[in-house]
Amino acid sequence: MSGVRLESLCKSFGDITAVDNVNLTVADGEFVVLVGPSGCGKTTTLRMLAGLEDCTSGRIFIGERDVTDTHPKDRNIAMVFQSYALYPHKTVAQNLGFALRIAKRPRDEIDRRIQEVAEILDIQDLLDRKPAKLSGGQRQRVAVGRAIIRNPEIFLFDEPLSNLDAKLRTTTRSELIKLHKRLNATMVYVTHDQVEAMTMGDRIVVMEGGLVQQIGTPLEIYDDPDNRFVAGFIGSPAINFLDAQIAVGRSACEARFAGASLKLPKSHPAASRADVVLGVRPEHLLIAPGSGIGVSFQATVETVEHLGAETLVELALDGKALTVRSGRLENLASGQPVEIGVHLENILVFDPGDGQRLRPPNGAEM
Amino acid sequence: MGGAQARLSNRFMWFCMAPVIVFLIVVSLAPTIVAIVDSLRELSLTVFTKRGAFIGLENYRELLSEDAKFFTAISKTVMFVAVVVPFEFIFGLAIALYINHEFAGRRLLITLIMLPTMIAPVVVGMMWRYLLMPSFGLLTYYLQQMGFLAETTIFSDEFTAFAALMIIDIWEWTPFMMLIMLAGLTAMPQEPIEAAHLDGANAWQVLWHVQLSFLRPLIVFAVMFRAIEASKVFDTIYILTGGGPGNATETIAVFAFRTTFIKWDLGYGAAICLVLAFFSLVVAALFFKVTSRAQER
Repeated sequence: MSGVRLESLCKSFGDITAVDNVNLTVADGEFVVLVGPSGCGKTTTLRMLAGLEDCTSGRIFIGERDVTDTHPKDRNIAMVFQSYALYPHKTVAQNLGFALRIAKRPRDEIDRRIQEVAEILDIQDLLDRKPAKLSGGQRQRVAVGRAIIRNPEIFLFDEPLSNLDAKLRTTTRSELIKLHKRLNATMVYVTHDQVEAMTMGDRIVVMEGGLVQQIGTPLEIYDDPDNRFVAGFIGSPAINFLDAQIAVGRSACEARFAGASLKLPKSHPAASRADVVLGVRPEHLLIAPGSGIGVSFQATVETVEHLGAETLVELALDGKALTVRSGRLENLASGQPVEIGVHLENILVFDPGDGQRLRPPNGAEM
Repeated sequence: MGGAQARLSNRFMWFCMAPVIVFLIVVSLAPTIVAIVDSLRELSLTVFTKRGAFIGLENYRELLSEDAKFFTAISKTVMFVAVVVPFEFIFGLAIALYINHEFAGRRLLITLIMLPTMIAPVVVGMMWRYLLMPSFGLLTYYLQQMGFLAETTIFSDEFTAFAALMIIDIWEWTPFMMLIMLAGLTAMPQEPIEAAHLDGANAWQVLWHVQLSFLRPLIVFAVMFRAIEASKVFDTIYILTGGGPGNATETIAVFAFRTTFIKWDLGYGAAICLVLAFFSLVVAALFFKVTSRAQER
């Protein structure tokens, strides 16, 4: 196994820059997830790593080997495609053994490896079937099997779960996590699903507009986003954003919104701006918080969604919708006014222009 | 109400289909029935007795048991098909693979490549006739300059005449194969090809293991179509050699033409055409059976 290093990787299609100066180091045995909306450049980055797209500029290293100009077949990489890309005219066994056959491995070794992989993925009964006779989940397993049979240096996954139904996706997700632990392999995984990214990755790379927006562990990304895009993309339900006006006093400044006021130290970068955007995760908005809370304001209940263990409440605040995620709440009704509170440390401040996070100089938010 | 509407819709359906059905009856069904009836009659215009008499299967008996020329024509046709179709397929596939990516002028190139197939076969024949004319044919001149055809002309030698006809057919119909293969390659999903590259396959292995498997139904169609068409080749041979020298280039269609319109034996000619049609049907049915079984596997 080896790590991966992408240095200043760029890819343009004519005038369109699909990937813009991506720098990323994936450690040996690490599971890194590239996540972002459609068109953000994540799949193009993965395809460049696989050698299926040429780089416009930049270098790609697998271990210490510069593979930027190396043909895909010589990169020792295996990839699981979104469409699984099984060979429809070959049986499952032939699909699994194809790479070994191409590598001219002895017949008995190929058979042994096929059996081993089939056991790992529990597809022993499917070996004689053609892909057309398999379910989506079974095809997905065969595609994974075709990747692991070769013991490649790097595994690449291009949205491999997106064609599965919700239940199967959850099961397969945990199977892939177990497989990663078992193989201790370096894996780079592309998805647009932030839940997959959060649950599977050792680290997440959030991309948008061809740029890497942030790299970090799932909880770092969730708790400490670098910009408004990352804060909005990661998390379900999505983070709430509130527009606030800055008023600077003699010793401190205030961010005012909806009749509430958030005190910020004068050294906070927000003090030099007229407006800011505040971000609060739905679980950090507290209904009827009582005294001692950092900031509180009044809002009106719009809808209440009971999910059993928890309740999602949509609030109206100055014509904007806010989502609250709370423990089970049974006595809320639509149209009811409620007091909402937020602890200061749970409020994120963003520049309204470029969306960058405005952190206080000492690192603490407030 | 529902029944009346269904009847109306049924009537409208027949009304829409009527022109096509009438057309097919006039140009296909009626001539076939006439040909079947004619093949069972003595219809040689050079025979004055029994002309038009019903003679049962006599034409077929004579054709299949006594006529050496018929079997020669069959063997020439088989040889013609067996040579030209594989070459057309291989060249067509090779060109399709070569131009199966975007580059400036690709559409223009495809149009230029398609020209031989788009030209009427008679015009193709005339064009090659001028190129290969013994006295002032441009190609003949260059071939002679290179030391070929010094003592003979291309259409006066059995081997060169037949080879020239094959080369012309390959030149004319390779673009058709190219177009079909290109359509298949363009419609093919790219992921299995990319997966094969990542699995370590080189270009030949990708072609053999992945692309040809995907193309198989199209290959079956194109090869079968061309085999049937090539077995009926007539225009270029008629223009260039007329079946000669002797009967060296007399394929089955030329043989049928000569019998019908040179010897004016209309009944015998009809029998030849029907036997040819029957063999074509049998070959097509066998081909479909074999390939559909292969597909199921």
